[in-house]
Amino acid sequence: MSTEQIAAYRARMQQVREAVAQQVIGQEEVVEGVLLCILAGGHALLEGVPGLGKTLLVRTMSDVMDLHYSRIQFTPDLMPADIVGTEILREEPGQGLKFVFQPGPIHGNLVLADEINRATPKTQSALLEAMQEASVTVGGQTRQLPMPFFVLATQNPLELEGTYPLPEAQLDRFLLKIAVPFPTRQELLDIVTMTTGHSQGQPQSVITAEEILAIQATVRQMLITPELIEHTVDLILHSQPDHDQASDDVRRYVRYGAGPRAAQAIVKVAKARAFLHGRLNVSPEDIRTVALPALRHRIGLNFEAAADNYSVEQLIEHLLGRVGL
Amino acid sequence: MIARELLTGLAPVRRRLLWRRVLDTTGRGLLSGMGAAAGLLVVARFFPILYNAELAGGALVAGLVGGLVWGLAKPPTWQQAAATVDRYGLEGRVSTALHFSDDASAIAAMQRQEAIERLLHVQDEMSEIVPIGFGQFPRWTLAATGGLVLIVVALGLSYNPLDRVAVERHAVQQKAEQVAVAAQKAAEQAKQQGLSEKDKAKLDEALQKLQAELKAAKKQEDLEQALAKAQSKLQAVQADLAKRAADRKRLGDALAGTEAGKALAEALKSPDAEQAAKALQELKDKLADLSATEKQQLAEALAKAGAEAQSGLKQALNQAATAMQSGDLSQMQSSVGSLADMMQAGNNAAGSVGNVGSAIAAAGGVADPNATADGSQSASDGASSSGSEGSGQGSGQGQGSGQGQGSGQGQGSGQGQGSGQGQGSGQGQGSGQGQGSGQGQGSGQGQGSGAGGSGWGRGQGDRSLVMVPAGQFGTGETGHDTGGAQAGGSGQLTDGQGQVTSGVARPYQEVYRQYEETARQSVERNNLPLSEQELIRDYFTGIAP
Repeated sequence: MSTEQIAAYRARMQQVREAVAQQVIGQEEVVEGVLLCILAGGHALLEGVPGLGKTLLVRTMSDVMDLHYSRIQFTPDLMPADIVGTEILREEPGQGLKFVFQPGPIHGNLVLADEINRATPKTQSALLEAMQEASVTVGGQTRQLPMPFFVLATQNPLELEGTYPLPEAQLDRFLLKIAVPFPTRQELLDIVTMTTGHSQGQPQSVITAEEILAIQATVRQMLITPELIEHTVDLILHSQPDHDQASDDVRRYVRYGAGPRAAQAIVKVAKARAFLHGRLNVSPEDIRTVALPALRHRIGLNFEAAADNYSVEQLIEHLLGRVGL
Repeated sequence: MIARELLTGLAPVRRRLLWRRVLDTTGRGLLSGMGAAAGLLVVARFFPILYNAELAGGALVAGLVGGLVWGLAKPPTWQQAAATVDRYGLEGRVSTALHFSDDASAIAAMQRQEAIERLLHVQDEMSEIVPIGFGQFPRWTLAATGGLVLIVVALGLSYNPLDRVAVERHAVQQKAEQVAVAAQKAAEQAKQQGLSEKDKAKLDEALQKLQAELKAAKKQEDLEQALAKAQSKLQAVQADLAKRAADRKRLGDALAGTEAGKALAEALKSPDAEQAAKALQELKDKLADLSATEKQQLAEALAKAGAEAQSGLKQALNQAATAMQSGDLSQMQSSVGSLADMMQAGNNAAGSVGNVGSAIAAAGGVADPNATADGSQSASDGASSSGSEGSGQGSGQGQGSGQGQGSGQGQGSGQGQGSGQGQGSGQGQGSGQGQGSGQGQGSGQGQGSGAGGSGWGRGQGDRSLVMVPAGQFGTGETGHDTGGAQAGGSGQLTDGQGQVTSGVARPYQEVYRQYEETARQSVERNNLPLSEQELIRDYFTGIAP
């Protein structure tokens, strides 16, 4: 690896951002969050009300990255087999009837799990193995999913009608939970202008799957000092209400704290952020920035927190202060 | 090599951090010292504290130096320097490079190179990265320091009336220590001068009380009061010892004319108390062998001495005389034994106790009451003075002289402001018989006696302070000095049963003025004859300071 190579990778990622920006107005932080997940080799959960461009963003990503894209629209009657695939009886010429595996939409590089919380928990859990192991088991046979493999799920806020909250185990599989904010006035003006005039052209692919895998390998080599890793671990430990050093806020409001996957997620995404920001090392700012999206879906607050209007974002800020970040 | 470049680039940051830290700790030390100094000066306004200004200055310096040393003692680490630069937009690059300085991987090498380049770019901005100066201190610190400086300067420069009190108290304490040491030393010497155990105990008791009062003394008045009390007690002991010495002398004189008591008489002239005790013991042993005449002579001598005795020996002498007259050997032996017990104190004991008082007076810087006695104890012939107990410092002077080998005796008494003057004359008669021979040998004998007089007058001692009794109580007769104002008069003092409490030492001038004023008013009020008025005026002229 050389400096030039790293610079080339960064340039390529910059092209991705620019290409996405041509299709998705605003939402820079959301775009960066998705890119961070892709570079860190994880999955992202986008949460926002309908119509904010979540689906457009994911589809654009797949276009500019030259990845096999598949979309699963989650509905209450969606079955697990509809996701992972199933064996069907097919007549093969000269061989008669034979069970043949028909892959489901999960067999893609970039899978959009749209409105994931509209499916039942049983169907949602069909994603568990795929997201964790990048493989699916159907009919007793485990099949590897193509690499790179990303699940970009969108969900509507839980308070909406006809939604099923994702179980903790499922949530933990998502590297980041990215909140999609409502666009600003200017962004909204741009959206209306762009989407009601001439039809936009299809975005060009600027990066290949192989390059993405190479960049992922590079990102994993980013340097991080033991002190920052210690801070990250302390952050996780302090989120546990049963921990010796848990603060009063944590003891009072937290139902369950973040697990070890949270620490891994923070470090991995921080490395990706360092790469994206032109550094070869993780800075405290990286940890501080990624802590919120990496932890917000991994910490469960209790009823008292809701009653006191105490949000998980407040808690994470509090935890960052506790560990000196 | 790269690691060295990294450290070279970090060195200015570390250096500035050190100075910043030194400034910070020194400032804090100064603030603490200033606070301590201000606190001390404020407290010194309510309680006397000796050298409070110096102590406040010391606290300031100690705070300053302590802060400086503390700052220099813990120089910042390379990691701290790296973290400081990283906060200035280098985003953890230097800290990471420092940590992975030994890592040989390609990514680590690239990261180090990048960190060094970025570090070199900010070399000119060190004053912004690590600002040094007043700006590094929080405003409240500067405000607090300024306020404390004003307080310290105001308190330090303005007059504190308690400073004088503190100095005075310190001087009193120092003097008290000197007095205690001097008294102890003099007492040790006095105890070796033939004091009886009882007298030693009295002396110890007086000194212990003195030391306790000296320890509690805070003002000059306290010190003087303690000294006055101690001197009063010592004078009582001294007077008792003097009376006993005089009684010993009388006994010796009385016994000198007896065959059996000659040895004892000689022994009683010696200042060594043991000799007298030994002689008495010998007399006791040979009582059985004495003839009736010798016993009678002894009885008479003892009775004479007993009649004249003024001390506690009087009773013992009378008992011994009675026993001698009775002829009962066991009684005689018993009474002589008692007498021996009471003879333990030597002739010099009174003087040695007086020396203790003089030592205390000298160390305490007050008048020596023994000096005002003007040699009342110095009559070599044993003349003694006895002043009224009521008059405290009163003294008499008697001088007696004898000629030949005779002995003189004098008594004098005085009353009033510390001095007495008397002149005594002695007459001696002596006769000599000699036989001359060609060889030029001869011998002579003589007898003489003298009697001292009494009078009034000014002593030669230190008159700057006199003891003034605090009060006189009792129902007994007071003393009357019937002696004339002229030299050579005789006086008689009837010692009443009055009790006088010890007083304080007061300047003689003050006492004189008050005394003279009182007398003047009394004279005018009572319309005394002119001759008497002149006599009183002459008296005050005579004792004028």
